[in-house]
Amino acid sequence: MSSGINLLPKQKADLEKAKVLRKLKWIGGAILAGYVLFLIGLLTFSFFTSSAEQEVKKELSAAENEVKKFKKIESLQLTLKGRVEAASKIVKNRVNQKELLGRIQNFVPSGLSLTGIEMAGDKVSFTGETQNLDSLGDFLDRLEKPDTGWSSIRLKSLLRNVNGLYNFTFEANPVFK
Amino acid sequence: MRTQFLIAKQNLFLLFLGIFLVIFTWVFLWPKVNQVFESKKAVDQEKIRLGKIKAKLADLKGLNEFELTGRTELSLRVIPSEKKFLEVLSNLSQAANSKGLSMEGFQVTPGELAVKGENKLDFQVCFIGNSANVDDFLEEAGKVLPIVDIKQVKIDTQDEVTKTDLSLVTLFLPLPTSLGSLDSPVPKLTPEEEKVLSMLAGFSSLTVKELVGEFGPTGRKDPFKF
Repeated sequence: MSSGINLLPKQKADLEKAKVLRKLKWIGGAILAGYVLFLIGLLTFSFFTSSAEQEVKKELSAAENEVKKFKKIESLQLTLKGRVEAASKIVKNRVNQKELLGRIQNFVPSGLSLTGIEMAGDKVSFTGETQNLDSLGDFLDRLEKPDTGWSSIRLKSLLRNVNGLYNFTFEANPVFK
Repeated sequence: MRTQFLIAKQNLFLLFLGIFLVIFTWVFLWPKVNQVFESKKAVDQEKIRLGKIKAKLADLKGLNEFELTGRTELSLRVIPSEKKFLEVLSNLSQAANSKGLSMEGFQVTPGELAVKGENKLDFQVCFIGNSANVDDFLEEAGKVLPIVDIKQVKIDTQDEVTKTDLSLVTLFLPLPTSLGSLDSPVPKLTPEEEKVLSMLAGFSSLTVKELVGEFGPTGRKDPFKF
């Protein structure tokens, strides 16, 4: 009696089990293949990154050495920049005193003379003397008009001296356009 | 029965393989992945730095050393590295003389001559002369080197003589001691600063030696007499 071949049909449960197992094998195989692909990708990426790193380091070192050769030029440029920057601030904030003097001279009437001018920042103080108060009034009126280049005219003091002349002090703000 | 045993064995193998892969990934692969990404990040940063250095190199190669030396020498006459107050006074005196005024006196407190960092020096200088020349003198005083900032002007006229008091500030800036990092950009002049530099080239400056001449022999028995 032979005992090797079972010709009886498989039970339904066994068939289901085999089907699930096959499915599991496929899933396991796919995960494994993905994992292997990931490993290969990682290795390739690592290789390229490493070679790029070497290349960049080499280029960087060469460029740094080249820059060091221009140390003198860089030092000169740094000295120049610092000084011109500081000088530019002074030039930018400068008040043209000559222009301010010219601006006031155009309005001084006859019979009145200025004896002192003090310019500090945006405030100018004038002292002077006049033979009559009309000249002073005329002078101040002229300055108060628009487009004269002066604003906020303030008469600070007015007195008559022993010679019969009037001494005055007034302040004004120059208008900068 | 044998088939069931084989299936169970296969499942167990798959389970162990799965566990092995998870542990292997966690212990060995994950740090490696992190390391690779860190390297990539570092390479990207180095590439940015390389770009900056190359740009700097191109800027430096574009500068003419001869021309730059001339411009820097001018800037050093504009703002010296030391307190050259005597030079400022000499040049102001020269400017006054050229416009018919003369220096009557001055007050200056120079302090320490060799300084670190930006330093200002205040002057009060008095000039006398004809009132008609004062405006021209003020213009000329603004053109002397080292550069002066005229903070206050006081003009008094008495008996045909005009006294002009100036309150001035002049700057001194030590030479840079370090160049900064290799990838820091080359400090370029703005178009406005270029204009200022061209304007400053027209300003006048004299060296102290030119004005006072050579000094006589030194060393005397009695230093308390002229």
